[in-house]
Amino acid sequence: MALYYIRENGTIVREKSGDIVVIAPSLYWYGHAKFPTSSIAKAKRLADSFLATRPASYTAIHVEKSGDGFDCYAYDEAHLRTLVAQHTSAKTPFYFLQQFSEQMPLRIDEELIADTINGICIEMENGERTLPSLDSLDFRSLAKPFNGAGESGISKKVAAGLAVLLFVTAAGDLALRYQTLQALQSRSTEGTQRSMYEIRALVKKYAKIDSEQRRLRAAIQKALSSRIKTLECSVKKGCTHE
Amino acid sequence: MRIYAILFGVLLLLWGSAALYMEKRVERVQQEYLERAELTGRYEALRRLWSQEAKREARRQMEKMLAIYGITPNATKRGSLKSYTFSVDAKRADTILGKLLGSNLTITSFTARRSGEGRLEVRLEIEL
Repeated sequence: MALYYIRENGTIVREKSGDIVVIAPSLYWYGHAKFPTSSIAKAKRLADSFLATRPASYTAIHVEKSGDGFDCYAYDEAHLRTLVAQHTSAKTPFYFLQQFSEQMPLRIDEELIADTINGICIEMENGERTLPSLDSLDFRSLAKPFNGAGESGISKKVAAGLAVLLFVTAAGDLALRYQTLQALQSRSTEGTQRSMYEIRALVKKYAKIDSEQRRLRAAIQKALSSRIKTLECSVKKGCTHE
Repeated sequence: MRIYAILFGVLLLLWGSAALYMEKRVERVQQEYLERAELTGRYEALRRLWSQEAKREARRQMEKMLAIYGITPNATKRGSLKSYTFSVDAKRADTILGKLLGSNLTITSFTARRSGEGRLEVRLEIEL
């Protein structure tokens, strides 16, 4: 795998053009602590106090679980981003060298090797030793502090909780909508035993009678209002009079 | 995390689709209900006037009314039609004929003829 490596003086050694940045220990503050919590968010707040002796510009905090405790990192995010942006895109994942501590010692470029002494990662010059390169590491197992993925993002429990909440809300909403639909359907069919087809046919029949009778009555009343000797009216033929 | 994003997406999609479907169904059922209510209202109004029961009641009322005015009609029945022939005093004719025409009898034919003694001979044929 290709990587960039940032050294203390800020210059970057590019092994291959690729997609990863490893930050040198001189650019961040590290400490391991056992906090009385399993929450990453709480641990992050505690880490802020725990790393109180760090330089004032190291305001950004990253925390991830490691063994029984937490690995805590403090860094100057703006400075790191500026350094990296000079050589690669902003979307390139960043890793602290400390995050590779379980896989050390290893070679990080032509002139430097990384090793762990008393739990702290260090880099040193040694061109003679034969060590595995960072290319051989499995980066997927690591949290990525700068790109929002990995353990530093929303925890799985929170995500699962949100999924359950969304499911319950959706189920509740749909149940209410279904109830409304059922109520409307039952209200729509209550009140009469006849089907819509029957009612339409009867309305048509009665409307025809109603219309004929109104017409006949109007004709009879009109004829009766004038002086007549005889008047003959029927639904079919209408009125004739003398 | 990707799996949760997919899960959220699928849930939202399902929720949205089901809600939209139910919304449309509710709209359609409401519209059907309104149409049915309008038709049923019209049906009830017409049924009160022209149903068999209404016709029977109207005929009964007519016979009662004629009896009150002391008129004994000559009634003949032919199939589903019934004819009433009677004579009314010309002075009362307007009132009696007005009441007959104002009722919901199903009149099939109506004949009126003035006689010499200031009376009106009326023949009314109604549907049973």
